[in-house]
Amino acid sequence: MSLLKLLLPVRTRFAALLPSLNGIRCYHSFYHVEPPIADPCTIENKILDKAYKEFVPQEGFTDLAVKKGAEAVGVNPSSLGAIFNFTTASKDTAMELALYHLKYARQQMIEENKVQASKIFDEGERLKFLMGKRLLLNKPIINNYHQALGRMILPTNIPESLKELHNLADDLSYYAGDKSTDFAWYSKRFAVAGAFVQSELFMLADKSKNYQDTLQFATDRLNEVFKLGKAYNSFEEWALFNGISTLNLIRSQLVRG
Amino acid sequence: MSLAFKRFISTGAKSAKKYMAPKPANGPTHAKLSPAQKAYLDRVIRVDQAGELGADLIYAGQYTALGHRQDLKKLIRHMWDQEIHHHATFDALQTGLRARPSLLTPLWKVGAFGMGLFGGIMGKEVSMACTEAIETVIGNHYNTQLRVLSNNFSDIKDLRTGECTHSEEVKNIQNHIKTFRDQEGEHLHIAVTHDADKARPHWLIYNTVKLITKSAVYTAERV
Repeated sequence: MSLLKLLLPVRTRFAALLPSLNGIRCYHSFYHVEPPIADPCTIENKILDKAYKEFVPQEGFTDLAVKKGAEAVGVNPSSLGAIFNFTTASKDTAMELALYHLKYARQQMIEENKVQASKIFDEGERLKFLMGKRLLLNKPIINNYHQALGRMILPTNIPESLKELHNLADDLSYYAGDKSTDFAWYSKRFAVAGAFVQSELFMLADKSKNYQDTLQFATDRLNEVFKLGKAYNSFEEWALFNGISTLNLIRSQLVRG
Repeated sequence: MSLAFKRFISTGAKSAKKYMAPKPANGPTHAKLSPAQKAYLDRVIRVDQAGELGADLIYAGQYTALGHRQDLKKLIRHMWDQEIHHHATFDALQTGLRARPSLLTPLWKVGAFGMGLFGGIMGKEVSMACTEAIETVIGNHYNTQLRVLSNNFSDIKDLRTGECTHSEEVKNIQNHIKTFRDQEGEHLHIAVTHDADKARPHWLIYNTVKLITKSAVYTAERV
């Protein structure tokens, strides 16, 4: 009994850490209304939007920025916990602000560049284009971005941040025109997410004009990914072709007796 | 490149237009799906894609082992061709509607081809018994899906008329599944009329393959 009591809080705490599948994007409908990535109608997002656009440049990704944002839209800052429905102490408004940045930037990346991206013919080039645009959306907040990244890698926040990273990699691949139907689906998203995180870290210390070095860095990383993919596909094709040829050779010998 | 090699590459994903409902010209026609409905459609596409991939490769395995027999060649080829079409359809739906493919795809590939090949090597009767077991499970599986798709998707409002109807997208999935269910039924009929019951021991082969298929369906729905 005492053991049970001891285990119970651990289990509930652990449950909060397990990535619930709620936030992961699944099944995209064309005939049904799709909810926006960062819904501008909810009160939480109104506060976060105000904080993100007006107060992050001075205050950074902090609770203070959200408080000022709440005041600006006419909400009592002391009621934020109730508005965001925080049920555990590990959740805070600074993390919500960081997540808002990720969702907002992802949404902007698609909305602003969908048309232009569809004019590029090569899937790889489209991917490079979209990732470059997404990286540049970090520009307005880049001086404070290290705070957001620090929040994201706290153990209690990792599931949420990984979910967003997956959603970003998924959107990047989908809008670039990915058509993979098997395990390649996973390796592709994993590789794209890796390239994006590396480029983002590179961007933190980038002093070049218009972040040209970052864009070059991202292009190089993606080229590496494509090269690896091509090598694997070529090997697979070669192995399958030779396997079938060998089988047919044996068969033809057997038929001759 | 040999014909057999080309047949291993599904082209469905690249010609999505052929298999998907045409994209609505003026944006969405229906109210949004609930998270549960979305999750269900996601799961339907994932498990059916994995299943049809498996079916495609099972017949490929059977064809590899039994393709030299003139009495079976045409028969297996006929079933295989239909499965290739099913596979291509679900590949197109998976990429077009952004569902996640099964994580265990490599396992399904190896397992399905191995099963088809092994059954084929054991002889005509055994491979027909395998077909019988698989198509029985799949027929029931498709019927369950059709039941859920018609019962649990009837609360979505049409934005133009305000009435609750099925959208073209859901109808398209339903129609595909209906056609496929009928074709799988045809395969079952072929298996039964071609000595599936003469396999020895029929009960063991039949029930083992049934169990394997059911657990594969259960896993592919989730992982």
